[in-house]
Amino acid sequence: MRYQRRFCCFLFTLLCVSLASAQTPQSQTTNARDATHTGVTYQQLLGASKNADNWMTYSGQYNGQRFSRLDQINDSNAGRLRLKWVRQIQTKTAFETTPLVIDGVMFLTLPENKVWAVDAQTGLPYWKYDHGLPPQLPVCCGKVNRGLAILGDTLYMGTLDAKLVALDSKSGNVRWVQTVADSKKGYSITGAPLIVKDMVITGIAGGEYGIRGFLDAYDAKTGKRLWRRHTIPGPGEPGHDTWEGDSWKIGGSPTWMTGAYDPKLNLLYWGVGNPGPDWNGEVRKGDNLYSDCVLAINADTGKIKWHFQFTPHDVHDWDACQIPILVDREYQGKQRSLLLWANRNAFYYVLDRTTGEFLQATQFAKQTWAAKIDQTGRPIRVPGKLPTEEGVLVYPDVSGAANWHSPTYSPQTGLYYQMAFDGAATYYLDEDPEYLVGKPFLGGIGLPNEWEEFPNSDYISAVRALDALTGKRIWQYKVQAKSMSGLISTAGNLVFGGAPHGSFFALNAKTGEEVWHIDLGGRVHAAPITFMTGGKQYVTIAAGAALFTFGL
Amino acid sequence: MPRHFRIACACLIFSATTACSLLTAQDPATEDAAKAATKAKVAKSKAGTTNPHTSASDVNQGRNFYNILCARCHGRNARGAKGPDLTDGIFRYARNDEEIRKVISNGVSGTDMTGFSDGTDVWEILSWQMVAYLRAEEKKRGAAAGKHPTGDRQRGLALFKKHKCATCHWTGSDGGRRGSDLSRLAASPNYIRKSLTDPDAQIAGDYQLVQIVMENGQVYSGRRLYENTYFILFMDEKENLRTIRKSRVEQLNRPHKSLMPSFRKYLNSAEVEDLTTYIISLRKGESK
Repeated sequence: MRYQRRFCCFLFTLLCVSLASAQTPQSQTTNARDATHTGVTYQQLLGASKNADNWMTYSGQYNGQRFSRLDQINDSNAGRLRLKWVRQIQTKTAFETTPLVIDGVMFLTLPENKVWAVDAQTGLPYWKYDHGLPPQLPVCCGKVNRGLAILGDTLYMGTLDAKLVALDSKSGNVRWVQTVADSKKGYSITGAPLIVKDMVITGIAGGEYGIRGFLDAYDAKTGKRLWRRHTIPGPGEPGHDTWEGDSWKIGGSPTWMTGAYDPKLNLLYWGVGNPGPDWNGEVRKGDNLYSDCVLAINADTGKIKWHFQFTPHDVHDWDACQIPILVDREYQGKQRSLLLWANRNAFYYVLDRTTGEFLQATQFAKQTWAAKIDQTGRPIRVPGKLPTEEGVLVYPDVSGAANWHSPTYSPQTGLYYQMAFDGAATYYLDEDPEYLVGKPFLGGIGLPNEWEEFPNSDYISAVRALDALTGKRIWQYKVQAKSMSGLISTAGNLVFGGAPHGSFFALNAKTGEEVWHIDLGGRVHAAPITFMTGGKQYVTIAAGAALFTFGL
Repeated sequence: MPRHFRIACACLIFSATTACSLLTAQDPATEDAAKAATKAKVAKSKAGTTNPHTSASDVNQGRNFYNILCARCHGRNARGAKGPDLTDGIFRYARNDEEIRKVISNGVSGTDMTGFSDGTDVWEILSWQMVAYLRAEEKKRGAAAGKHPTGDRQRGLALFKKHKCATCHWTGSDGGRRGSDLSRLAASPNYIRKSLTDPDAQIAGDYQLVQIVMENGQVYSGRRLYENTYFILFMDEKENLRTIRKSRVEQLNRPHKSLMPSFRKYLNSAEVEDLTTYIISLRKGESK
């Protein structure tokens, strides 16, 4: 046995020596890059938009814009984009990852809380980590994960069993694991955390399981919890009276997507999901704060500075789970810090993000539930659109006019881009929803009124470019069928996005004209990223059960 | 180890009973008793294990999971949509509650029905709760429930020939291709009855009629097979497979109309029943 092993060692050494000698000349000529990253400082995260070679946070920058200053790939040459590499994974679950790229190393999450580090130029793996999950998980929509956060040489991932995991970025070794909540009580994490200063901020999922939502901050070094902000006010807190009786204890209102951060104001902006039970509002009368809100939260203390509720007393499952976009622009003659938000309820909102003041709302997709949004930002509901036992047809669909898939904003064009959806659903009410710990708490269901994969009508998605200040539609690029692809925009005057049957495309950001598309043969259910390594720009997208990277 | 032991025991018992019945075959009284025992055994396997989770709370939980896992295909209250109606008391792949539970757990190979079991004890309870929910819906529907077809198969065959159904429908090893393959049809009897008299009421996405006018004036129509942002694939009236780039299309219609004509005028209700009986009998593996 021992002899055998020694012989193998010898063979291995021989192999290494011969490989090394064979590869040395090649690597000297092609590998000008340095693939050993040194870690990411908070200062670098603050300056992320200036360091466009890397993609360092879920949304690319703290302002959530998903705009890259890279322009090597642009509207004049994107037609020549070619596949550089594909990395296949094994999964039947939707592949929803937004990878990070740091100094030529790509970090991505797979479904079921696996993490891979691969070489960004070749897609070849450095290491793989598998968290391992209990068999029973409270997940409504698949064992998905959407991404990581990084600080220094530590990666952070929230898991489906509601833990926060810190991994060494060079090896995938575990630094610490912190329990965020009890998954047996309906809590899980699917979104990417956000680093602010030396804190890891994470939201929580479970809006269909009777949880009480919150947003948490943890010490990045030790995993110690620094603050928790409940998204449903407890007794004595303002807003508590917007829940009838004890309904606040199990009123959902999760924080399952990643927020944005304004370092000057030291405010986090985070979307809050649907109240529970989703479709039966009778058992939770009131506005149900802070469900379907955007919260502005002091990053150091976790205190709420202001809130804005898009859909008071929601009964259609229209979470405010979208990614906030922060923009500084002149608005009606005055320089303002704005917050832009195309909501699941089909309206596009512009708010002042310093004060939370409502500035305006414009419909950006088909809707039949609201007569208008009044001067305070509150919707005036159309009567007869609440779920019933027999079912009521309402636009937008149950997954909304927008959902978790990221929008993008280009400071070059001044346009806000959203993959919008014009479909309807029939909303049904189930009476007497029963709450059982860790079990679905729904009170009904919304069912799409057409077969989503191959709709019988013009049941379409479209990339819609909106004037960021007015919400007026400038152009649209229609996509069939219903797409939940995220978008990015670049300084090369491009917008990248995808479609459910597997197409991935580049559009002229100013005009919406298609510059390039390719069929990847599997659903695009993620957002693209772009990065530069070895002097070349790349674009990466997850589709089906594979990760694709394109370049010139 | 314990599992192997159990299987070995079962084998032993089985061979013992077989040997026993062979040995005692001459004795008529014992034979009757053995027959009765076999009959009881068959009846028991037909009935399956009784659902242990049928309280109101179980039905409620079953409804929740039904809504999450099943409603998109089987529709609101399990009344059928893209997938078959589950409230008419007719389960093609199950004879009893236990078998329904197995279908939910393991799926049906060769159909769109996937299994949802994750192999846990929790799943076991949950799947029983879904069965309880389905039975509750079936009971609620009561008199309105779909009946097994009671027509005459031979008369149905004659009608099938008379109305040239095979022009569009595949049966057994040949036939038309623009309609569904009737030997693999999962639909419930009620769905078939309705398709004969009011086909426009229920159109599956892969049987959508498309009408296409090209830029050069050429006109096509047929059954849509696939569609994305850029292309539409369809089978034309002569059963040619065609791919058309949407950018060259002048007009694309997807009328809310089935490719199947209505036979309401040509069939009385007894004939609908005969034809339904025949169509059900075409299913592969179905006893005739």
